[in-house]
Amino acid sequence: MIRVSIALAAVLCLGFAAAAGARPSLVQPDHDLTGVWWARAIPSRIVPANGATLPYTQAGRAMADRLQARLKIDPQSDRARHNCLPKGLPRAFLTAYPIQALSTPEQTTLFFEENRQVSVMRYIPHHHDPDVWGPFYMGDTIAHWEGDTLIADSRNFIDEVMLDASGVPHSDKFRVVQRFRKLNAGKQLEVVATVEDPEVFTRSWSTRFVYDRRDDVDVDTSWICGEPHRDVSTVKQGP
Amino acid sequence: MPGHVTKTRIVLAALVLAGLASPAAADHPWPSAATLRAWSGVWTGQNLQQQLQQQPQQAIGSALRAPVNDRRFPPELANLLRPKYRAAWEKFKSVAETEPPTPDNNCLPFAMPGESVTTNFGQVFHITPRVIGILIEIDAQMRLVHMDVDHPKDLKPSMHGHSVGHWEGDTLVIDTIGFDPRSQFNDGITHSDKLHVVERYRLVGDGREMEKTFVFTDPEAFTGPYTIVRRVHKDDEPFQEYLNAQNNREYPCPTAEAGSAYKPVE
Repeated sequence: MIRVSIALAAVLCLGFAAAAGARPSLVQPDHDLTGVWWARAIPSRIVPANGATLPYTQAGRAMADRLQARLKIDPQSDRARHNCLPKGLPRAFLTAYPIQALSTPEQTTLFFEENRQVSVMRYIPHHHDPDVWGPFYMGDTIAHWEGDTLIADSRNFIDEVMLDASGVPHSDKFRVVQRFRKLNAGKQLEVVATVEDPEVFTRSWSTRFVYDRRDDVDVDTSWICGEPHRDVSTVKQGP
Repeated sequence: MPGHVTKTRIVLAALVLAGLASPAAADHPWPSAATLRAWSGVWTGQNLQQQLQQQPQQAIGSALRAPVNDRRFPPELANLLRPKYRAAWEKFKSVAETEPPTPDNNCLPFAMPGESVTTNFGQVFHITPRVIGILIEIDAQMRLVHMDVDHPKDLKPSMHGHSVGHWEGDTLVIDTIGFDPRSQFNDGITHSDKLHVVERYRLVGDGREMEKTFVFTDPEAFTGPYTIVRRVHKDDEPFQEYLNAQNNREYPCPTAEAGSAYKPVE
């Protein structure tokens, strides 16, 4: 009798759960980056994925020299580091802290715990008129899906945005195209960022980031500059 | 064993197992996907005629009720302040003639409870099965509402607090505790770490308006609960990056080296 009771209970249980516990997803599984993503290792500076050096134009090299000289004299001019302002893209991906991604039918939004940075990737066909909108620290981003890959095109960045903390500059021709794809049955997220800036670089180049899915982590949305943050000692940081 | 005892056992066991399988969601079924899609877009009070409307006299205990769409926290809230918090508010008013010493003017998160009540800035609801993200235009802030779970026991106080949510019919109910006492109501009204906020969001009218009801309780700072109702509408303007830190002049921003010097007026 007890066994029968348990079996009936299990059947009833499934019925309750199916009827009352359903949480509808508004997006199809292969168009959903929702989750917490956290890198196991990050480089200290941005480098092309093929290991080559950055392909500066002559003007770009001169811009980089000026910017890097200024950072030596006045490190606080890097306000992303000093005042925790948004780092911009693709520098925001160089983070030892987790990222919350949220996909809806209209957009995918990335919330970077570090510096409380937000990248809104709207599924619309055209960028906003830069004469009316922006510029923005995190750029103006439009996105679309090609199969299971989200392709996001960001441009219209504020001048002071650097591509990394060492002082890689950009011009107003700068754009970065990011390709997001889940790997290993959704356990990892790959981001390939392709940088184009004909004034600063002789050709486009790409850099790659990989993050682990971390359902066990809650992203902290209340980052305050200079106050204690989560322990990131397990994240390998280096060249 | 009598038949009715057996049936009772079966039902009890089923309820226990159902609870284990889907703890709170079983009690609070979600709306349909079609209903949830109507929450898309940017919700704002901007450009909406900010007419003050008296609330119908619904009884919520002895709680005071604020007018709909009064952007600021009405002075009536001050009537509920206990002496220590009332004195801080009076002092705040005396020093706040130009740039009020608020968290956002010091480059801290604008933060709950002020951020959600203020209707000027857009909000975007990201509804996903485990977490609802509320993106708020001012200071590009994100609130994460963890669905159908309880608050953790060892909460670290934070500017947004810790939010859990569930659906009651088509109404999203959010319960938030764990506030950093530096967060504040946006007129210099402060609170203790006992602040508890319950929010109820629902679409009204033709579905292009949203009603937001807030009930604030803080036994240390207020003599009773306080309710505010706001209405926002769906806007066609896109979400914009808006950062107070860009424009700050009067008050210092925190630095990575020294942290924040901001303290609420006491």
